[in-house]
Amino acid sequence: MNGPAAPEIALVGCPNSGKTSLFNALTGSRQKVANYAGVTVERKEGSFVTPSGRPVKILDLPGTYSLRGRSPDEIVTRDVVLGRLAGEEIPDAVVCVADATNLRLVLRLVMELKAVGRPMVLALNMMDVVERQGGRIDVERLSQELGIPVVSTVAIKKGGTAALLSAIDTLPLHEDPPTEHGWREPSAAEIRAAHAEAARILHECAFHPGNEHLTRKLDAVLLHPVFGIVILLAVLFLMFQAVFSWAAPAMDLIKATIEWTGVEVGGVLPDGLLKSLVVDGIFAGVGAVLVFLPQIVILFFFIILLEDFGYMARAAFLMDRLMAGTGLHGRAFIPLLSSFACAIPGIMAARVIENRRDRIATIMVAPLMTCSARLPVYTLIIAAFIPDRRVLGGFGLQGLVMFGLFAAGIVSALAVAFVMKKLIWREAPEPFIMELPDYKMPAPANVALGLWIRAGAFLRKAGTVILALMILIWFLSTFPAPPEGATGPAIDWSIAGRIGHFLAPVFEPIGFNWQIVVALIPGMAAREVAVGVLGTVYALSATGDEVGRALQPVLAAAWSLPTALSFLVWYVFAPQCVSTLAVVRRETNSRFWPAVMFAYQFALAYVAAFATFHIAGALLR
Amino acid sequence: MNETTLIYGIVLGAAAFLALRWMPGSLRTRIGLKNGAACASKSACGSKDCGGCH
Repeated sequence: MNGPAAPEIALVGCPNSGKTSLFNALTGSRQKVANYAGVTVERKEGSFVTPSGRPVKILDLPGTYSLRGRSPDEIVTRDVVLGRLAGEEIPDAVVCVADATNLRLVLRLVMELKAVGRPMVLALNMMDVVERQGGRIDVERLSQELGIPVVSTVAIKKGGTAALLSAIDTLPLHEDPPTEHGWREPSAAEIRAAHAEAARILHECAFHPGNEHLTRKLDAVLLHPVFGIVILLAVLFLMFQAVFSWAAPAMDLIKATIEWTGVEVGGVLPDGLLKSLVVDGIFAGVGAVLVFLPQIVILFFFIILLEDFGYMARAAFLMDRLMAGTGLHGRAFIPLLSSFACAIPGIMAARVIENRRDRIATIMVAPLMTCSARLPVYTLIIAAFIPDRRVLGGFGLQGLVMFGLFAAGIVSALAVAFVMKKLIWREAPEPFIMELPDYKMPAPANVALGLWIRAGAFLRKAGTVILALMILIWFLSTFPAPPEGATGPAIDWSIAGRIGHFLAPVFEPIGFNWQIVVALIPGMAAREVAVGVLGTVYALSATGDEVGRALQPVLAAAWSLPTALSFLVWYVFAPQCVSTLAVVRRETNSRFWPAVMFAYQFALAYVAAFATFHIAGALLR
Repeated sequence: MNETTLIYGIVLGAAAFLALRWMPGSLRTRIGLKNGAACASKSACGSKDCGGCH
């Protein structure tokens, strides 16, 4: 006969409280990940055994500041805790996880959770950080004030969950849930009263020195309505200048190494298909993408540094006024900022936005932010066509153009949001409340780890997806072979060449030749692949002395300046990523929105590239 | 192994790799592979917020 089912504990906490780290520490690899029925909110369940040998199931719920449930994630958390979610049992107990360095917000959540009436423990996570900062929390007093067990945890340290495990052992699990829970949506007056009570408890039980004085002084300047915006623009400008100027030596070194290796390997192989695959397909294609590693690293170096310093939240605050003017919610800043790395996590981060129309507007404009996959494309074209000279008192022209492309992405995103929210939906934005963290010195180890992860991800992608795509592109650009006696480059007879020539008339009005058209198609899988495809297509198109030349001078000779500018503008707006459309489909649970996104981005890209090509052509005539 | 066989092997291997990589989660489950959302980059977006979500 089977014994009673293992009791289930729900892990609840504010976002970024270390909840998932604690879940991982408790469960190790004993985890199951799925989605809640009917929604795209992730359901993570695990299990562990308490010190007394009792097996326990644990559910990691999405982060929330309250049980009011304003976003899809928060609604799932509320409904699970209250036992309202179809297919979910009401949990036997609740473990509320708190970031011990920032207790104020979680105390309100604790009060709401207490009203639900289930057995409960408060886990003060990151207590080591509080102590390191010279703070202290009277855990016993806090437990008395709240009327529940309170324990310290350090999720990232071995043995850091021992106190929590012991506390879980003392909970009265397997009690029948109360027929009525005591929670109801609080009124504004009750929320204010809860805030005051949380402040009182915090004052009684916790001392946290922080660096409020420094924070106030820095905020006086960095959040100033005028100087703050000027400083933000200067920081972004410096970032893009550095991406160009600091990366150059490392890029030259990587380029020289790849070219040397390509020549050496090509010299060993006999002439034939295999040599063509290795030299024209792999070295010309993958090598063209790998060169951009230093720029990716420098871009992320700045992003991680600013995030760790606490500046990114300030940037969100500064941008809120601007975004509100376009109808976007202040919470849209973080999804849009994430989209500078990749639109996909940005679109997923839009889940934190409560209002559905606000969320859809954010999702629709997220791909217009300049993701890191566009960087290789921009860099290649800028380096080939924009002279490396100083303008406006010493600024690099190439960095200036790069800054302009990023700015074009931001401005167009705001413009599209304005059209959607102000002209079509005619909605006023909801108020935006956010907590600004204290400034702190970025930890070098954290920055180094972040860069290592991102560089590793880029290299992994180059060595897997891009390598496989380049092999296919080489194949499509090589087969079928030209008939006997045919003249001109062999690629003209290939499948890729025929597709390029077939579609070329569609793109001719915006200045694209058939080689560009060939690059656009696999560029839908990953934008930076377009650079590799251009490398391969031009390597296979080359005849005589042109063979083996680096891609940049080849493009400079083959394209006109209006074509290059049109290509850049196309990449600012075009729906060049299938994965993004797939995630929009998943997040909106509709085929309509990805179709709208594809259509408006394609139209915007075509019109903007058309205008750029013809205006630039007229000006240069 | 002659050169043409080797080339076709490499190309088919690359195509199979990409097909598995981008196979929709539902199809993946149906043919008995590990469940999971289709992901073009397997966290290669480099984003701090990417939990292998796509």
